[in-house]
Amino acid sequence: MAGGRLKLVNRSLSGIFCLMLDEQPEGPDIDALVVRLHQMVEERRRSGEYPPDLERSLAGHYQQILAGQGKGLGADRLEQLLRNLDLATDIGRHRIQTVSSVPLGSAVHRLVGKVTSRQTDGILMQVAELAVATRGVVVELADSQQPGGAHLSDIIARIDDILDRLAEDDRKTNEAAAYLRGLEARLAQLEQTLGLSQAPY
Amino acid sequence: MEIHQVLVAAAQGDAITNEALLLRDLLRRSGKSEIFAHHVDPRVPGIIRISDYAAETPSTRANNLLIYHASIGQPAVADFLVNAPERMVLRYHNMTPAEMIAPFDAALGRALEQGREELAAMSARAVLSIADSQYNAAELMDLGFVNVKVVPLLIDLHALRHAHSKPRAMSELRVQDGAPLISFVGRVAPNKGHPQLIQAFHVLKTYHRPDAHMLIVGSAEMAVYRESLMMLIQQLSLPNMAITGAVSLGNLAGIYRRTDVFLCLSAHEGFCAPLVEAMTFDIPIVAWAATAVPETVGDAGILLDEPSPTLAAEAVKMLLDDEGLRRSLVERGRRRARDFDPEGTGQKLLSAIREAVA
Repeated sequence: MAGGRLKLVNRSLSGIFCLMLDEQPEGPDIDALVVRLHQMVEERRRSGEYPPDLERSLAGHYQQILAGQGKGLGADRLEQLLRNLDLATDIGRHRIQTVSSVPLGSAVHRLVGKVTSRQTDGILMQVAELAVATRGVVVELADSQQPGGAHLSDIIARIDDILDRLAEDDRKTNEAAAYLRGLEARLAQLEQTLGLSQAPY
Repeated sequence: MEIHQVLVAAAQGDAITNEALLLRDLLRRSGKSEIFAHHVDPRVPGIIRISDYAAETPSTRANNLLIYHASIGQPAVADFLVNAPERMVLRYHNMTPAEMIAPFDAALGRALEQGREELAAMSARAVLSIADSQYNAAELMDLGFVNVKVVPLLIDLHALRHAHSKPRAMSELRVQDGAPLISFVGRVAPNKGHPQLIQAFHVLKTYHRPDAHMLIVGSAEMAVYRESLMMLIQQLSLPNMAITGAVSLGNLAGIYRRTDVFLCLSAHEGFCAPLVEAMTFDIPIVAWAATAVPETVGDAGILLDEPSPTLAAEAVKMLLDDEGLRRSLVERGRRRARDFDPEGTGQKLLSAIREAVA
């Protein structure tokens, strides 16, 4: 205890000051060391060894990751994606409208539907199989979301891809519907030209 | 009189559960003593579900004493304690502020918030409170607790020091022979400052020691948080860094034996047992002087005034390069670790408890 000195310190919970023998530190003065460390970091910045915005850039990386997770990894987002997937997996000819506001239009739609039914059913079957399989995988992964398990960001990116593809299919269906509407319009024009009645009954 | 302990969750590798197990051994020297918990990890032997309390303690309950280890909320446990006829001693290990956890785990955040509310309601119930740090004691006094003592966390340093690690553990973790190894041990949770650890390691590896390795050791059950750390490690191209997850006692000892510097940038610690474990293994410490960390470290480490990655990297580099500084801090660590000797700490805990019921 050579070199010890008396020091007034407050170490009691009751706030009573007590006199304690404070040992002189035998090694380095930590406070002075930390001041020196700050100076060394500053010197590296000044000399250009560290880029001037190094710490901000490092913090920025993590902030970006958190922002990405906020968009893609939340349970609410996953739930929403599953609901979207549920809606999208209701695939069938029943969702293709054949109703038309013009005389004989509905009949034309039904006729087109009948003629192309084999191809339509084939495509629908493939899309339905894909959708059911996708949904099964996603639900299984969501239910068994374990620490150390699947990478959610990857899974959600893949779900997004699938939804994009379904949306693309939907867009093509709409294009086909627009084509049919064009047919209907031309049919109506033809009917007028031929002087057919607007009211069949 | 029987003295029993109550925990919300008893889990393998958990510092609070470990303290309860050590304390139970001490208490059993003078009578019946059990540990009751709401959540029971089957890997921890001899823990009884709290719902079986009445069946397990047929003696006159009012004569008994309960020691409640508080670290998180649980309404069923709080109800049990508030209505129990036994006298109660509160052992306070701190509760992580909910706002640090909630963005990554809303349910855990709510449990922590609930825990603080339950704690406030127990101030009139406890005949004595024993905090494991002055920092925690101050929190209790702010909540209205009056009879507050401080006894450090009881840690089984003997078992850890003598645990055998697998000879191939380091190579399985891809730590190269002879390369400097930096470690941090603690639950992978947002209050522990892992992003700053990763950033500090990036600075150390990129600008100072390309051969350095770093291990982040501890259970990583918060999937979203762990994922964010994995992405950061990947973005910063740090193949020499690994998050190990939970490890066995033997492998933990193996990692400590191989570690050159223990780096802790936690924003919130009520005590931080791994700091004491590091001292026991002669590892110099660099830590951010936040919450209870400076109290636990004492003069046995470089205490930073901010969790700056460049400052932390500089301190680690200094310890890797300066053998004199390293030896000096290791020596201080050995001295400081004696303050947490399990025999002495156990006796202090027992004395405090006996005084409370005398």
